This record gives sequence, C-alpha cells and structure tokens, in this order.
Amino acid sequence: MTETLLKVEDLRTYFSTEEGVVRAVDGISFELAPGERRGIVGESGSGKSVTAMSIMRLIEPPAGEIVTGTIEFRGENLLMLGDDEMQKIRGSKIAMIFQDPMTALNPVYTIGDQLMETIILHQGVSAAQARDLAIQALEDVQIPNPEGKLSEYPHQFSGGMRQRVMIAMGLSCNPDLLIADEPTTALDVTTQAQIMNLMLKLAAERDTAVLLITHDLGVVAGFCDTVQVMYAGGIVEFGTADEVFHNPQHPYTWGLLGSMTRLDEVHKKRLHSIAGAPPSVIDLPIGCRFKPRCEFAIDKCGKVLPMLQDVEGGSQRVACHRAEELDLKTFTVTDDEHEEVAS
Amino acid sequence: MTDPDPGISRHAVDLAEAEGLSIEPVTQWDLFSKRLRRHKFAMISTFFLIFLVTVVLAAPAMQNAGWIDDPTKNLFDDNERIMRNIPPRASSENVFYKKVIDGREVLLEASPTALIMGTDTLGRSVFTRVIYGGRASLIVGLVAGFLVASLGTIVGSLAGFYPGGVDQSLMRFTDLVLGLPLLPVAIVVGRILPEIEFLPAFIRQGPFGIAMLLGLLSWGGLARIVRAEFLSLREKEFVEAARAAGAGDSRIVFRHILPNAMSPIIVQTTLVVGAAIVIEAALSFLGFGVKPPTPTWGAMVSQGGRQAVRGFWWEMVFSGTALVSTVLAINFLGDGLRDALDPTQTIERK
Amino acid sequence: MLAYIIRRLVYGVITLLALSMIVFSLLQMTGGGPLDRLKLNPRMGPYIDTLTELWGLDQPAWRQYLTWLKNYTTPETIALQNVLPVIAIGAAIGLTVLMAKFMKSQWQGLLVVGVWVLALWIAISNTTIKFNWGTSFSGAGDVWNLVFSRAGATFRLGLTALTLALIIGVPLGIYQAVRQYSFFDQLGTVGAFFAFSTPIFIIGIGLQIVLALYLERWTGVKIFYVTGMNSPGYSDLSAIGKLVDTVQHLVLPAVSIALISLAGYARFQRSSMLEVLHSDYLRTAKAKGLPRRKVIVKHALRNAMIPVVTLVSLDLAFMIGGAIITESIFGWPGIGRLYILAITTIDYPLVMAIVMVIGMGLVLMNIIADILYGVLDPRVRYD
Repeated sequence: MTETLLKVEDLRTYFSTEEGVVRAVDGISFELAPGERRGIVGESGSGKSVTAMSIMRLIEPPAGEIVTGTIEFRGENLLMLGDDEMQKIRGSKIAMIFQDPMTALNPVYTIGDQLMETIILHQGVSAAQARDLAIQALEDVQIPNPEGKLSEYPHQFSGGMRQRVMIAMGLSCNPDLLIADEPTTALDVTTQAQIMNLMLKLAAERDTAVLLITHDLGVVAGFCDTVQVMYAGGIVEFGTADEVFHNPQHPYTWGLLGSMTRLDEVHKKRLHSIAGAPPSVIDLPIGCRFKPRCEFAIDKCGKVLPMLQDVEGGSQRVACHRAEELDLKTFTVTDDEHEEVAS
Repeated sequence: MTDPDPGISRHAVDLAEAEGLSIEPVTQWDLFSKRLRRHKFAMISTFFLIFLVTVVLAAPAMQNAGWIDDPTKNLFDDNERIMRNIPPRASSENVFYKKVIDGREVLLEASPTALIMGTDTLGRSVFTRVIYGGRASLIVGLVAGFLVASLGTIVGSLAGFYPGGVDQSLMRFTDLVLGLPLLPVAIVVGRILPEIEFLPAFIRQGPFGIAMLLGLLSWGGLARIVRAEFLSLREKEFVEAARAAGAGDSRIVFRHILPNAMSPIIVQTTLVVGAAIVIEAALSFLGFGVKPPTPTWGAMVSQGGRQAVRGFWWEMVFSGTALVSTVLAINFLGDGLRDALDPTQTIERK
Repeated sequence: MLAYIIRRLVYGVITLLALSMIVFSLLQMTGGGPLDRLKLNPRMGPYIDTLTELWGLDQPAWRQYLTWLKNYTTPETIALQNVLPVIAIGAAIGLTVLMAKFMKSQWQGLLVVGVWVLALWIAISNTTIKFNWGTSFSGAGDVWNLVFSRAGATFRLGLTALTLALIIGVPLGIYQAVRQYSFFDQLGTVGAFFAFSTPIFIIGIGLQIVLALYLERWTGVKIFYVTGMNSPGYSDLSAIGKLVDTVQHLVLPAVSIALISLAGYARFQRSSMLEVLHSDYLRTAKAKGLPRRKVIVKHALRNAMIPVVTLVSLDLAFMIGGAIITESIFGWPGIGRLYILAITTIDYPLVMAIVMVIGMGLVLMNIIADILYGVLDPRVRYD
C-alpha cells in the first residue's frame, strides 16, 4: 500500500465507571488506504463503536478518555488538534452514520434545516446554494420528491428514509472517510441491502473510504475489501475479506464464521456457537482474552497476551499463539455441548 | 436440559472459574441495597427517619417516664406564674406544671427537658410540642401515603389492564380529580371538617381526617403512572409468555406485572408522603388543619412566627427545623430510591 | 386541532361542574346554616327570615345549587365600551393562526401566549360585563365586584412570581446540565432539594424576619415592606417613588411564591437538558462538526425547553396554593386572602365564586399549555 489515509496506533480508550475502569479499546493499531472499504467485526462490547467514536473524537470526558495512542488522518494526528480544527474535519473530511436512524435526527427541525446546516457549515455557500445542494444530496440517495421533502420533519420519514437522509448528510461534503456504525441494524431486512448498496455505490463514486462497523459477517463479505476482527477491546485478526473468510487464523474468527448461516452450503451442518460470553472489559483475564472460551487454548494462552503477527503468504495478521500449528479450515464443529442442546 | 442457566454453558463456567473469575449471581436486592448505600444523603435520611419515627412513637411512653411533659399543659415558675416565652435553657429548676389530683390542684415538678427549647407564648414546653407535633405529621404522611398507594395502584392497574371502557372512564375520573385545585378544596374541607356531625370525633378533630382528605385528593398522579407502566408491561414478552402458558388475569397482574411496576409506585408514594406533610402543615398554619390544642408543626410555625417578630425566635425555629428536615429526609430518600430502583441503570458513569 | 380544543373545553367544563358540585355539597354539610353568625347579632333578628327567603336558603340543596349555577353563568349586564376588545381578540387570533403556520422558534410560541394575555386584559378592561355571583353573606358586598377588585393584586403577584421562577430557574437548570457534576451543579441540586422541602409559609415568614425586620434593624433603612401592596402615602409619591414603593412591597411575597417553583423548574430543566445532551441527534450534530455552542444553543435548547411548558401548567395549581398562603402572610389584598376570609366565615357565594375562578384559570392554562406544546414540538398531532 502506497498511501495511507488513516493510521491508528496503539489507541487506548478507557471509561471510568463505579465498578472500575472499562478498557473499551485497549491498544489497537491499523491503517486504512484511501477508498478502501474496511469492515470492523465483533460482538457487542468488543470496542468497535468506541474505536469509531475515538476517531471522531466524540468520546466525552470525564467518563471516557483516550488514554494513549495516535490517530493520524492524512498525516495529521487528530488527537493533537484543537477543538476548532477538529470541528472542521468532522462532517467534512470524516463523516459518520449512526446505528439508529429513528433517533439520530433532531425531531424539531426539518430535514432541509439539518441537511443545509452541514452544507453551509463546511462549504461556506449561501442558503440558496445550500438548498440546491441539499436537494441534489437527497436526489443522490434516491429520495423521491426531494424538494418537497426538505420542509418535512424526521417523524414523517420511515426508518429507511431517515437512514438515507443520514447518508445524504454524511456524503454531502464529499468526505475522505465515512464511518458507518451498524447503519442497517435497526432496519428491516429488505431495506438493509438497499441502504448498503446505495451507501457503498455513493462512496465509490466519491472515492470515499468506508469504515463499516458491524456484527454481521454477511454484510462484510458482500461489501468490504478488508476486515478486522475485534474481541474485548483488541484486534485479533486482520486480512482481506477473502483471506479471513476462507482461511480464518484465529479461533474466534473461526467460531464466528461457524455461527453463520450460509445458503450456498448444500450439506446440512449444525450451526456452531461460541461457548460463553465475552469477558467483562473491567477485569480482563491475563493472557489471551479469548482463552476462557477457546477450544484450543494451551497453558501459554493464560499467561502471555498474543500480539498481532503476520501470517506467511498474504496480508493476513493474527493474534494467536497457536495460529501457525492449527489449520482451522480442517476442523469441523464437534461439540458435545451442542449435541446436548439439540437433543 | 437441566442446566440452571442455559445462557452460560457448563464449559464456560468451569473455564471461567478456573480463571478465577466469579460467576456469582447478583440479585436485584443486592443491586438495590448497594445503590441505595451509595446515595449518602438517602442513607442519612433513612437513619434520621427511623430515629424520628421511634421518638414520635415513644412520645407517650417518654411522657409517662417523666422525660417530657404534657404538650397541652402550661409551665409555671415557683411563684405560680405562667412561664410565657422563656428562651431555651438547659436547666428546668423551679419549673412546675399543675395537675388536678383528687379534685385539688397540685404543683408537680416539670421534666428535665422542659426548657431546652424554651416555652411558647402560652407557657408550654416547645420541646415536648415539637415531639408531639411530629405525630400529626407522621400520621398524615403515612395514612395519606397508604391511601394514595392503594387507590392509585388499584385505579391505575384496572385502567392499564382493561383497555377500552374501563380505562376510559377511570382515566376521565382521574383527570377530574387531578383537575381539582388541591389547596383551595383542602381548605374548604379542613374548615368544615369539625362541623360535620355524622363523622366520628377522631376524624373531625385529629390528623386522621386531614390525612384521609389529602389521600383522597392526591392519588391521581400515581394512578396515571401505574396505568402507563401497565400499558407498557402488558405488551412485554414475558407477559405474553405467561399468558401463553395459561396464566389467568390475576396471576399475570400479581406475579408478572405488579412486581415490575413496584419501583415507580414506591418512589411516587414516598414523594406523596412528603407533600402531604407539607400540605397538612400549611393547613394547620392557616388554621384549617388539626385543631388545637393538639400540637402540629404547621400551627407552631404560625404561632411561633408571630412571636419571632417580637424576638422570641425559638418556637418557630425549632418547629420549622423539625418540619423542613423531615420533608427533606423524605425527599432525599425518594431520590435515593429512584436511583436504586431504576432497573435500566446498570453502570452509572462518574 | 379545533376539534381537540373543543374536546378539551368540554372536559374542562365537566371538571368545573364537578368542582362546583363538590364544593357546594361540602359547604352544605356544615352544622348550622350560613346565617348562624348573623343570628348572633340581635339587630339582625327581624331580617333573618327575609334573608333566608331572599337567598333561597329555604329551598332544597339541589334547587339552591341550580339557582346558583344559573346565576353564576348568566351575564347580568354585558356591553362593549368601545371596539378595542374586538380588535385585541381578533389580532390575537390572527397572530396565533399566522404563528402556527410559520413557526420558527420557541420564542414565537411564548410570544403568542403573551399576546393572548395582553389581548384578554384589554378585552376585559374595556368591557362592561357583570355576572350575578350573588351577595356576600358576611356583608362584604357584591361578589363579582369584590372578586374583580382583588384580581389585579393577585395577578400582579402571580405574574411576577412566575416570571422570576422562569427567568432564573430555566437558565439555572440548563447551566447545571451543561456543567454536570461541577461544584455549581451539585450546589444547585442540594439547594433545590432544600427549597422544595421547605413549606412556603416558612419561606415567607423567614424572608419577613430576615430580609425585612433584621435588615432594617441592622441598616436602619426600610428596604422591604412586609404587609400590603403600597404604603399609605402612595398616591402622593412621584412616578419613580411609586415604582420603588411597589417593588419594595412586591419583592418578598413574589420571591416566597417563586422560590419553590424556581427550584422545581431548575431541577426539571436540568434533567430534561441532560436527556437531550445524551441523545443520538446531539451526537449527530457534533459529528457534523458544529461548534459546541451551536450544538447546545440550536440543537439542545429547543428540545430541552419544550417539556417546561407542561411543567409550568402543572405548577400553576401549586402557585395558586402558594399565593393563598403568601397573601395571608404578607397581608396582600388579593383573591387568596379574600378566600381565606370567606372560608373562615363560610361565606357561600364568595367561596364558590373564588373556587370557580381558580378552577377556570387552571383549565384555561392547561389548554393553552397543551396547544403551545404542540406548536413547539412538530411531532405532536392532535387527534
């Protein structure tokens, strides 16, 4: 990769709660190229959203705090910027789309108000020009009768339509990076695909890099170039979508893939599930965080935290002590537990 | 499937325990008491209220033991003059009260606490009256609170559980009660209560009448809250599940819905108790509350206020402090309960 | 919308009817008749029977009630002094329709309410209208005249208190929310708890003693007055002197009423603001790159201030209670003090008239608040 758009290094974002310090993101590093589509996958609580909020610098002190790390965007460390400079980047260079479109728009202002606000703010155009741009933006996201819709309020829109508005808002200033935090989770299945297709098509037209946060592996497989898998605040595996899906190196990734329903598999296979729940990010186990739930764990896993290491042949990286010796592809799921549950 | 908690597999539990992680179940009660203990003001308030209730309940016993005096009797000095507006002092030497024994008036020595809060303008011990005044306040608070909790819960649950006609008519009635201006109506009732001849004396004269009046006028808010809770809980999956399992209406209401609606009922009732005490005090202050010579904090502030203008501050200050700190404690407790009982609140950020 | 208002008015009338029946029957329950006190006066002896017949006291209770209801609601005289009332009400309706169509900010909504208050005041003061609300049993004269001669004083006191509570309480709560967990916020929270745990009469008497009595004793200057609305020599004062004298009388009772409400508004506004500050749409506003000030002023304030409208309408009943108590503490010649006098002597027509005036005020204010809420929040639809 020649050029880097975003470079995150050793990012640690902690939250202080009454029960202790929550290490929501605990030392992650990754890079993103311009125009790249990256999927960030993981269970809830794995630190995906906090990563996104950290990049946007929307972590609210005093509860949450970026403890260490750098987030370089076009060679500039976002964490060192003043509030004013960061505000100029938010919404114009880096835009974000949130999970729940039902609550993400301000209920007391019209769609037009909220769209034009962003446009005027970052493009310094007149209200009339902003109005034209807003209509254009709504047209781009295939909202019928965009001119009339400008004066309508969010509650008059359906969930899918609102998410379209959010996408229009996010892309209205042609950002370099679009962060989409589970953009389709709150929508019904038929709308999901439409929204995803629309978002990625528009992003591709504008050469906008996308950071897609999701727990839906199917979405990642369909839309992303590269994937990083997060578990309990750390990245456990990284690679191109192809590599990760066809040759998972980490037992967690392997477990996640096993729990997917796939229509293309002819033979009947029992769906796998990963035993247990993710550890509380307050008292993380020493050593590998996945160890308590890992079927392949050895003594070393309980003592030393594995680092992200290159896998030979390819761009894949994995954080597992046994990655080299295990060939997870050859394993099929044979778990007494699940026999029992099924019976 | 015999596993008690199917969400956590045996495998993971074993592993987690080997790791030294605890899988101890945390009960609602644990969470509740932990959260309540964290609320310092609420804890102090709880102890204060326990203390208050004990003292107030023990007042007659304390009077029998000679620790405090009769709240309605004047105090005399050794020249048999009534001791009016005596400032607080530690010693009650040469202080007496009169009692009729065998048809003759005899002077008896006053209790050692007789003057620690001074005397009022009629020469009665303020300390004793502050303690006895608490009885009226607590009776009003508790009886009104009980009435509100039961009426509000019954009306609210019926309206919330039986939509349609029952709901509509009950809620219209609730709106009507809520629409009544509380204090003006309470004043009317307070004024005529002693003159309603068919009522028993304890309702006409004492704090019970006022308490019932306030209870009957202020259940509307709770009824609305309970109805809203029922409406949302009725649609919840666990209620559907219970219904699917063949549970009858009463089982669903008492086992599944009501326990989940307890938090707002408790919190709202606590706040109503505080409000009822304040309104009773206001009625007594205006002269439409509990009838003299029964002491109440409101009436003492009223009488003490007139004396305080002349420089005799003690009656007003002590009775006022008692009233304010009681209401404050109840409100703090209500706030603490609200925090502690909120089931949606898991981790509160600092 | 219109259907909604009409339905609310119908419910309001039902509530008022119930209120009147409740109070009327309560008043019937007293042991003696309303003439008991008059009977004590030997000179009244010959007139008792005449009065009993005149006031219809020999009739059964239900007939007395119906007579009262008919008299209470039928205007005795009605005449416009000039066209001002028509113009004022017309302008208010026009402005409301206009505003409802092109609503841009919450301030316009408040403006509508202000215009209505002004219009109604102009209308009433330029109309000769009189209802037959009866004659006071305790010899204080015609009830309608009596109530309206006192209404201005209560209006002045209540409006001042409401304004004080709003312009201090609301910003206070917003500031507390924006600076959550700061020292000021915690001080405000504890202060609010103290304020609404203190009964209004303790606040009133406390202010009298500390800010009037002791302050005068220490400074030697009379800063605040504790009784009445104006000094005896008021009419001889200059314009500025009149203003100062009015303020000196008004401050303490107004603050007494306002303090508890103020604490309530601050607390409510704080939690409402906090909820908005943690909302998703505020996160969106921040993610857009809006400056913090704009995020708060444009996106948070409006949303957070809408619920206050409801709170104020609910609080009004409380304020009326506060006014009754405060007026009797400060000797304020308003409706509240009149009410206490009336109820002490069980002066039926006067008690009924005042209770109904209070009830009507509450019903009207609730409807206005509901409409205003809908104007401010586009999500609300009336159906």
